[in-house]
Formats: sequence, structure tokens, C-alpha cells
Amino acid sequence: MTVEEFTNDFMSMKQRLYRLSLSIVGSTMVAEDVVQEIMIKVWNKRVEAAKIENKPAWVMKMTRNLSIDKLRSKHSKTRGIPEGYDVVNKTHTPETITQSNDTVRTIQDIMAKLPEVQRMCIQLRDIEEMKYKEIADILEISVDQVKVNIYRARNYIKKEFLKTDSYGV
Amino acid sequence: MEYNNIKDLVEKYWAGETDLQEESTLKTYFSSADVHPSLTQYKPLFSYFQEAKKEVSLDSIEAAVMEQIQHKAVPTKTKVISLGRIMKVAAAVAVLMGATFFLYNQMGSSGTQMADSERVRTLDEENESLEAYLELKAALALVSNKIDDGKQQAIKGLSRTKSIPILK
Repeated sequence: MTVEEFTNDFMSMKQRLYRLSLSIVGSTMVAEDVVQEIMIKVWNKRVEAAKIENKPAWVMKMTRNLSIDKLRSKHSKTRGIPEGYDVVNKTHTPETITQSNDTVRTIQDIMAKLPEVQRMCIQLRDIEEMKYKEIADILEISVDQVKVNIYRARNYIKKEFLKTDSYGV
Repeated sequence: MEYNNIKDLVEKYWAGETDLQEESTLKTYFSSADVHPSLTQYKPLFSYFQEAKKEVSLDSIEAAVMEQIQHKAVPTKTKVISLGRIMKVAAAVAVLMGATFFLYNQMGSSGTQMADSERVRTLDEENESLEAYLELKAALALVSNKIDDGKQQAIKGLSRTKSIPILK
């Protein structure tokens, strides 16, 4: 695989991989580290990588696994409040968000409470806007299971969100 | 978009039955200023999904990775010289050598069309060259036999592997 092919096939996915990792590890710094490590890993495995049919699924799986490992190795019982939308975070300007940071944190907290596969399904569908088949390939579950997980996740989020919302303001 | 349409879409969304286009419609609707009062409670949620997809700056990561890669840059595919090619070349060389000696011999005996640089040959030299030619012929015959043996081996080997394009 040439450097150009690597850039086109894998490096081009970095935003998606970053968001995926961030949703798991909750820290922008760790998510950045993950993306960097994964890219190097892919390059080191470039002979194998060139032959893979579903490259996005393969690399997203790797990213997810590494993110989970990093999370576990932190020995943290809770993910804590994800910093993804921190006010002081230079990479994301909150001025564009129409709601308060509290609301954003609420949604992230709710999502953090979801079982992992449900959270992944929501991440890949509602944020990454992937088709059910693509999600099924990455998570190695059936399309029907994806649909069920999305149904459950959305209803849990709705219930929790409306619950907290009524306390707010 | 019409309130009734949106209301239906929202219900469909909770039922997990919307397609990507419908979901996109919902996100667009909820990011606008004109959200119906009964639906404003959902606004933060759909806005969140839209916000979450915004791109961040990852240029430093890309630069770091590319730098590390350049130091380990792999050379372009190395050419694999197949056995068949070696055999073809050897055979060609053998033919060439044989032809050269043959022609050299012929030119000497005919005595016509000699280049300026060519020496006039004595009978002794002719005999010597003939001897040398015969020896070479014998040696080449031996090599040719070996090549045939090698060819058989190679053919055996090739049948076990995928075909080598060079041998077309």
C-alpha cells in the first residue's frame, strides 16, 4: 500500500474515528491518542490492510477495541463527565451550541448509562448517520439487532431526558 | 416543514422506523428557530446529534502520523524474478553464443564480405576455433539438458502455486 492509498483509505476516516473513540473514552486527549495509535497500527499492518474488503468496518472495530482497552486500563468505575463539549476545550467552540452546556452534559450522561452496544448503535446511527447494514458489520451483530438496540436506546434517552428536563430551568 | 408531518416523523423516530433521510429532516427542523411549542422539549436532543458531528481539528495528529510513516517508508514493490524468466534468459544466451560461434566459423570459411577489422585466419586458427566450437556445443548441450531438468522441476513447482504472469 502506498502512502497515498493509506491517506485516502484510512487517514480520511480520522474524524469519524475520533468521534467514535471520544464517545467511549470521554476525553479529547485520549481520543486523539487513540486515533494516532490506530493510524500507525494500520500502517504497520498495511499488507493485511490492503486486502481487506470492508476497510471502514475493520478500522472502526480496531478503534473501538482500543478505546475500550484505554478506558479499562484507567480503572475508572464511571466515565465521569465527558469533556467533549467543555467550555475551555479549544477544539470545540460552544458558542455555536444553542443549548446550555448543562443540557449537553445531560445527554452525554444519559448516553453513558446505556449498555455499550446500544450506545454504539446510537453513536453510529444518529451521529455518524450510517446505514443499519454498516452498523451491523462494525458491531458484528445482525441488522435486526441493530434496529432493536436503536429502539431501546432512543426510548431510554427520551424517558431520561424528559425526566431531567422537567427538573431543569 | 409542516407540523403534522414533523409530528409523525418524531413518532416514527421513537419507534425506530425512520430512514436516514427522515432523520436528517428532523435534525434540520430542530435546528431551525421555528420549532412548534409542543416539540421544543426535543430540540436539545436533536441539536446535540447535529453538533456532535461537527469536525474538530486533527491536523496535528495527521502530521505526526505522516512523519512517523515517512521514516519507515516502504520501497516500491520489489520485482520477483521467476525461475521461468531465468531459464528463458539462459536459453537465449546459449542460442546467441552458439549462433555467434557458428557464424564466426562460417565467415572464416567463405572468405567474402569481411569487415576491415577482421583478421585473415590461418588454418591453425580455423582448427582451433572449430575445436572450441565443438567443445562449446557439447557444454551447451549439457546445460540444455540441465535446463530441461530444471524446467520439469519448475513445472512441478508451478503447478502447485498460482500462475506467474511472466510465463505467459
